[in-house]
Amino acid sequence: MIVAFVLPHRTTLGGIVDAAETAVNRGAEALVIAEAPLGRWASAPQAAAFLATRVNVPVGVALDGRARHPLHLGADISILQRMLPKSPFFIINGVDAQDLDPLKKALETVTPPQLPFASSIWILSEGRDATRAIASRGFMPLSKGPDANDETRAIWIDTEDLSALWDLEHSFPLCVLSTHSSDDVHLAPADLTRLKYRTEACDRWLEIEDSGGAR
Amino acid sequence: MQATPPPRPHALLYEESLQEARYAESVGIDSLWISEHHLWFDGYCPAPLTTAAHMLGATNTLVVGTSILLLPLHEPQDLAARVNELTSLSNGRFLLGVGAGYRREEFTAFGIDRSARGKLMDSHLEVLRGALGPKVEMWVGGTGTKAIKRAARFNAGLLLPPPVPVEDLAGKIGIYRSHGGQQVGVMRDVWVADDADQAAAQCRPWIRYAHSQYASMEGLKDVGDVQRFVSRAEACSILGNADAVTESLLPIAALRPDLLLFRIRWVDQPTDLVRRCIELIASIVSPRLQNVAA
Repeated sequence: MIVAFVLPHRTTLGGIVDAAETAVNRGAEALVIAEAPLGRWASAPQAAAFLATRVNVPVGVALDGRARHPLHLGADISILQRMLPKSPFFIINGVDAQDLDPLKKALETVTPPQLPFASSIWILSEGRDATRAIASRGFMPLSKGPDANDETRAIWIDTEDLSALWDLEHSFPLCVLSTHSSDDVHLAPADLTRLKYRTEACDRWLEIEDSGGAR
Repeated sequence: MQATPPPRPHALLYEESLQEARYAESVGIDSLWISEHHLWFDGYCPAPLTTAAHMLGATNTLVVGTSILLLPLHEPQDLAARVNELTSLSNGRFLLGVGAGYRREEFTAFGIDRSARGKLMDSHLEVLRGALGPKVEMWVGGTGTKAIKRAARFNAGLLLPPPVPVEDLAGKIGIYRSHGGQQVGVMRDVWVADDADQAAAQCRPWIRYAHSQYASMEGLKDVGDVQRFVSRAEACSILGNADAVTESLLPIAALRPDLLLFRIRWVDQPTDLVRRCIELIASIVSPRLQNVAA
């Protein structure tokens, strides 16, 4: 599982680099820059493109799917795929069921043929029907915290709500951590370790606990 | 059609561009400019702000601008927020250059009436004037009298693209300045190599290819029209060794533009040749032109 921290909003080079370094020192394996309402950046793609030259971890984006025309959304994703080939994920928020096909068409139109796109695009949704609709278009369904279901492939969760994650039976290749206050993400070391061991279902964690914690 | 370098993977191309930006900064080039088009077969950059952000993040003093961003295709309040944020992050190193656009397919794809682009420029510039922060410097690109007057009216710099013939430049600059315009930028297609013949042999196929593509973007279909378009562009291009290029640029430098933009990338040119061109511009051409302007 990739554990990604949502980066707090900063307006200066020094500020954004400091925030990134803080997150990495606290255990982030990747960073996410989020637009409203998940974050406060005016443009996640810009900030990610700016920051990625200064950090050594992947920088993903969480885009407001309603903020721009799908062709501009697709253009930003396409350019990030070219400039940040190791950036693993693009999260799109605010895409309703009727927007999925136009979005897919826009992305297919703007993406150079040699770059894959659907499997690296995660769409935030609520409910099993929505996640199925997303998966059926080839996108990856991302759910918020307790909304996760058996169709979910990644989870977005606030650190204050982390306890809800332990009750879930599913495992996810991507976990995005944020805070209600949109400030720096700070996770207790034990919780971070527990998260990183959720590559399989809870059983593995239980095995580790039963064995006295040896890893 | 003349041979052009084969297309390379986009990730490699953009990485090379990033390294070229760093190199340009290291040899004293002032600025780098990025343009915008959508839905072109070779993936022509459709996101100039995000690309500019990448170049700004990788450098420390290089100024990066858009020449040009297609303003009618953007929502101006959102654009202002993006530009303000990028200006802040880069400590004022971003310049916003905008233009009306021309390619029908782009307007159609965005669901915007192309015939309204002039009015959209005016309304969007009005919004930008109120929403952009004080540190944002705006430029307007165009060659027609309306575009030139628009740049002056909105207190923006004027970017004159190639291929405006040298003999026409003074008149256009005069219109702009007579309407209160303050800053002029002139762009030329330029290629500098160690040897004049080498420069021509390298570059002519690239320029012809690129402008044949621009002719298609303009909607030209008649072969004669395309050939005339390409010939006019080629006639305005400046190719040669450093001495010859400097000599050719002197009449433009004598008009005392505030910016001279050299377009040196048209296709997937080998990066070592691009770097050599940048080096010759920085070390020979630019210093000699600065003396003219002084």
